[in-house]
Amino acid sequence: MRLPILGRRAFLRGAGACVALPWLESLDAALPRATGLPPLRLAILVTPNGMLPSAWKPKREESGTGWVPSFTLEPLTPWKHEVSVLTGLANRQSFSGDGHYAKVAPLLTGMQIRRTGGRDLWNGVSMDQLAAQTVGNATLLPSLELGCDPIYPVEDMGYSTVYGGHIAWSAPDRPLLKELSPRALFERLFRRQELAGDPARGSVLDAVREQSRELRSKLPPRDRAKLEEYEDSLRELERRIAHASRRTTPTTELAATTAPAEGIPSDYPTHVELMLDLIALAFRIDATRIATFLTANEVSGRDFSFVEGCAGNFHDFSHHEERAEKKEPYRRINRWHVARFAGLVERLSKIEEGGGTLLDRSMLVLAAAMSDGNAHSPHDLPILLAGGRAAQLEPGRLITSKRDTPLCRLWLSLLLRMGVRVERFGDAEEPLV
Amino acid sequence: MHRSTSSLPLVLALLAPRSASAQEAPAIETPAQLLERLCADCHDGEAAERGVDLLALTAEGHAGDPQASARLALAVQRLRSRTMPPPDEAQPSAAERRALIAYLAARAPETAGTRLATLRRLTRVQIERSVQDLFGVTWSAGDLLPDDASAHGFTGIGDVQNLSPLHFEKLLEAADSIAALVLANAAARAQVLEDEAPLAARLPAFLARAWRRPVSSREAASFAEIFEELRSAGVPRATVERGLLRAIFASPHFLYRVEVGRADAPAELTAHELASRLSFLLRSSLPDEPLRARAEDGSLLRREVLVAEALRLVRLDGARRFAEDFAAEWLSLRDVLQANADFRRYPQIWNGALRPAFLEQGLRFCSAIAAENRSVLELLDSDSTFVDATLAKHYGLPPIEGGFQRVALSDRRRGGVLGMGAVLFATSYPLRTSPVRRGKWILEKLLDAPPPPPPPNAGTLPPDDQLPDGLSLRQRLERHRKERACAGCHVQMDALGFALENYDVLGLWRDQVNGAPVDALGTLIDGTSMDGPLALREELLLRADEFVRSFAKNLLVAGVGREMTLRDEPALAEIVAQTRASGDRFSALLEAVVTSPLFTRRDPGAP
Repeated sequence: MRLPILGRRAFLRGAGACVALPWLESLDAALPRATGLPPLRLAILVTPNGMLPSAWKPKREESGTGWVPSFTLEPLTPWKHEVSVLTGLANRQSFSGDGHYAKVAPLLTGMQIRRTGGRDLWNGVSMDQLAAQTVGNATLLPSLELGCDPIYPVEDMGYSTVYGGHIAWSAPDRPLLKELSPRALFERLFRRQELAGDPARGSVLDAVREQSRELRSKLPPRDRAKLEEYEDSLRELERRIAHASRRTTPTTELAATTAPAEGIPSDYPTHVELMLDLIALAFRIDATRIATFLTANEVSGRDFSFVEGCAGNFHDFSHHEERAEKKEPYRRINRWHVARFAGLVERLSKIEEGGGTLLDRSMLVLAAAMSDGNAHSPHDLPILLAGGRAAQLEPGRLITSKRDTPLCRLWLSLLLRMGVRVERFGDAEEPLV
Repeated sequence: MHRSTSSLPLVLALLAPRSASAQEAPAIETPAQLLERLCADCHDGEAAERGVDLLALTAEGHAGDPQASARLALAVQRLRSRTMPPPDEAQPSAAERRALIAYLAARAPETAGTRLATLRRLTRVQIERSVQDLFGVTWSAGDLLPDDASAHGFTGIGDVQNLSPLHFEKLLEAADSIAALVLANAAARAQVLEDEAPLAARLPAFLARAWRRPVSSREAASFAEIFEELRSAGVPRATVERGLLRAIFASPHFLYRVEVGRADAPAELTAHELASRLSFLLRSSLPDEPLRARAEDGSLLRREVLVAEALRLVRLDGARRFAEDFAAEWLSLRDVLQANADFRRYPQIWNGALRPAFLEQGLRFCSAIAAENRSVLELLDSDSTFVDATLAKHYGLPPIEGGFQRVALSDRRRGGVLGMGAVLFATSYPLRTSPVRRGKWILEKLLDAPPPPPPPNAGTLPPDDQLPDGLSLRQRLERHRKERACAGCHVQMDALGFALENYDVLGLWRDQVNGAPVDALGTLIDGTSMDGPLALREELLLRADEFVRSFAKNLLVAGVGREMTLRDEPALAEIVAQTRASGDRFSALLEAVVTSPLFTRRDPGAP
C-alpha cells in the first residue's frame, strides 16, 4: 500500500464532507494502543481571506443550545453535535494596520505586529507555542507547524510577508518554519530508529555546538540572537534524539511500506488531505499534542477550479464588491475549507482511545483572521471549535458573545485546559468557555 | 551627527553632471526657502499633517524626537515618489525636488547600529553555488531546504532569516546530502580528504575556503579530533568521513556570513570579509582562489585591486550568475513564470516555451550589460535586444534561426526592459493590461520611488477591459483619481503605466484595443505629457540620476544585507555622480559601489 492512494478519494469527493481514509484506518489498526489516560491535544486550522458572513452565519436551533447549518457550514451537518460555532469574537490588536498581514500574524498571539519590511520583526508568542512550551517536552515533537505555501518573495503594504505566512511564533521575533512536505513530516514522525542510530551524529552536533558558542561570544547582540536560534534548535534536536532512544519504535517497519510520496504534492486538495491525515496520525501515536495548519498564506490567490464554479483567484473573489458572481465562488471556497475541517473531525472520531475517541480528547479550531474579506473586517471572526468532550468543551453549541469580545478569551480557555498555568493571555482576563 | 550647512546638499545636487537639471533654470532658493514655500502650509507646527512638522524636523536639535528618522524618511519617500506636494498644490521642479531630498536626508540623525547589517545565513542558491565552486559538482537543494524569505526585494537579508528546530534539521539533512555527494566523487573527495592520512591533513586549506576565513592547523586539528575519536571507537572510516563533511556544512562557520570587523577597527571589514561580500554579491558564492589570495595578502583593501577583482568576478561566467541572482531579484524577472493570460483571448500562451523565453531574454540582456560593459541606461532604452526564434516570431521581428542572439532593432519599441515580455506580461492580468501595476513597477524598480501603500478599501478595478458598463479602464481610473486620497499616487502610477498601453498582456504591440485606437497618453504631476512608450523612455532618460541611484541602491541592499537609510544618501549621491561622469558604464557603477564606504565598511555610521 503506497501513499498515492491516500488523499485521492478525498480529492474526488469535492466539496462534500469526507470520510476518514483507508490509509489512516489501516495504520490506526496496526499501531499499538496507548495505555493509561490519553492526553489532551490541540489543533488549529487557519484559512486565508476571511469567510463571507452572510453565507457563514448559522441560525440558532429553535429549542436547545445548538445551531442550524448555514450554506458554508453545511458540510458539518453530520458532525454538528461535535462542533460549536462562536460569534462576536475579535482580536482587538488587529484593528489597525493593513487588511491581511496585520490580522493573520497576530491571530494566535493577540498582539499587534510591528509594521516593518524586515528589520525588527515583532509579534507575540502564539498560544500554541505557549502550550508547546508546557506540554511539548512529553512528546517526540513539541508541536507541528504545517502549511501548503512557501513564503512569498514580496514585501507588501510595508509589511514583511514573513507575517502573512506564519501563525506560530515561539518568541516575538521568531516565526516558525512550516513543514510543506507530507513525506518529510512522515519521516520525522516515524524514522526514530535512524535518528538515534547514527554513530556520527553526536560528534557532528558536538562540533557545531562548540563552534557556535565560540562564535557567538564575538558577535554584537543582534547577531548573537541569530546564533541563539541555531543553538536552541540544536538543543531541541538533541532532546528529540534522547526521546526517540527511550522509546521502542514498533512502527518503523510499517512506516517503511506506507510512506507518502516524495516531494510536495502538486494537487492542492491532495496536499491538504495529506496534512490532515498526518495531524491525525501524529495525535494518534502521541508524537505531538499540538498542531497548527495554515492552509494557505494570507492573500492567497489560489485557483480553486477543482470546486465547481470557482475558477479564478481566491483573493479577488474575497473582494466581492457585493456582486453575486463573486460572492458565489467566495462562499463555495469557504465551504470547501469547512469540509476539510469536517474531514479532520471525522478522522479523529473514528479512532478509539481510552474508552472514547481521539476527537473527545482533541480540541480542534477552524479560524480565519477576518470575517468579510471584501472589507477586511476584523470583527465577528468565523470561529469553529470541535471535539474536546473529555475536557468539558460541551461541543455542539452556538456560543454567542457581544461584539468584539476578545478572541484571546477562547485561547485562554484552551490554554488552561492544556495545563498551561496562565491567568491572562493577550487582552483576555478570563476564559470564554 | 547633525549638520547645519544647509547649502551643501544643494551644491552637490547641482554638480551632478548630465542631469535633467542642466536643462532647467537653476534653483535660486535655498532648500530651507523651498521647504517654507512648498511644504510649510501643511507641515508646520503642532497641527502639521500626519504629525510631520518639517520645519521643526529640519531645525537644530530635533535629535530628541525619536520619530525624527521615520518622519524624515516618510517625507523623502513622498517627495521621491512625487506624491507630495499633493497634485493640486504647487510642484517643485526636478532639481528642486532633489535639493529638498538631499536637504532632508542630511538632517536625519545618526543612530548607533542602524547601519549595521544583521548576520546573514546562506540562501539555498548560495549553498548550491558554493558546493559547485568548491567541488565542481552540482548539488541541488531540491525539496530539502525551504524557500528563502526576502526583504527589500532580496533573499539573504539577515533580518528575516529565522532558524527554527525544523529548519535546523533541514540544514543538517542538506549537509548530509552534500557529504554523500562529495564522498561519491573521488575528485571532490580529494579536495577534503586523503587516503591513509589523518583526517586533518587537508583540512586547513579546505576549511579556509569553505568557511571563508583563515583556519589555523590547530583549529583544523581540534575539529578533526572529534572525528578521530570515532575512528578509535571503531566506527568505519566511511561513516566518520561523512560525519566530518556533514559537520563542515552544518557548521555556523559555513552557514553564516560572519562580519566582525578588524580587531583594531571593528567598523572596518577585514580583507576576507570584504572578499566574501564581493563574491556573494557578484557570484552568489564563496571567494575563489585568486580572490582569496588577494584577501590573504591584504591587497584587496587597495582600491585598484578591489575594482579589478570586482570586474573579474562578474565576468567569470559572462555575468550569468549576476543576472540570475541579482538582476532577476531586483527586477522581479521570475514573476513572469507565474503570470497568466486568458487562453481564449491570448492563445499564444499555450506555447509553453514563451514564459521561459521571456525570462531568458531578460537574463541575457542584463548579463550582457555587465559582461560587455555597456551603459546601464540601456536597461531603459536600447537599439538591440536578445531573442530566440520563438520570441522573434512572438514580437514580430525578422525571423531568426536557432537560440538566443543579440538582434539590432529598427525602432526602439523593443529596446530596454520596458519592451520585454518578462516585464509587460508579469504586470498584466489574465484579461487585461494593468497601467497601475506597470506604473508601480517602474516606480519601484527603476526609480526606487515606490508609492505608499493604498489606504484600506481602496477598491479594485474590474478584471476585464471589455467592460459591461461601457466605461473604459481609463475612465474608471480617472474617476478613481478624482478622490483626493487616491490622486496623489495614481497620478504617477497611471501616467507611467498608460504610456505602455501599446503593449498588450503578452507584450505584443497594438494600435487598437477593443476596436478603439490605443490611448497611451500619460500626464505627469508636473503637467508633462508622454504619448506612448517612446515618450516614456525619453522621460525616464531624463530621470537617469534616479535610475542609476536605484540600480546602485539595489546592489548595496543585496551586497550589504540591509535597507539603505537617509544617512546613506550622501554616499549614494556620490556613486551616482561618479557613474554619470563615466558615461554610465556598468564598470563605473560597479567601481563606485564596491569602493563606496557603504560597501567597504562594516558600519558606515561609526566614526
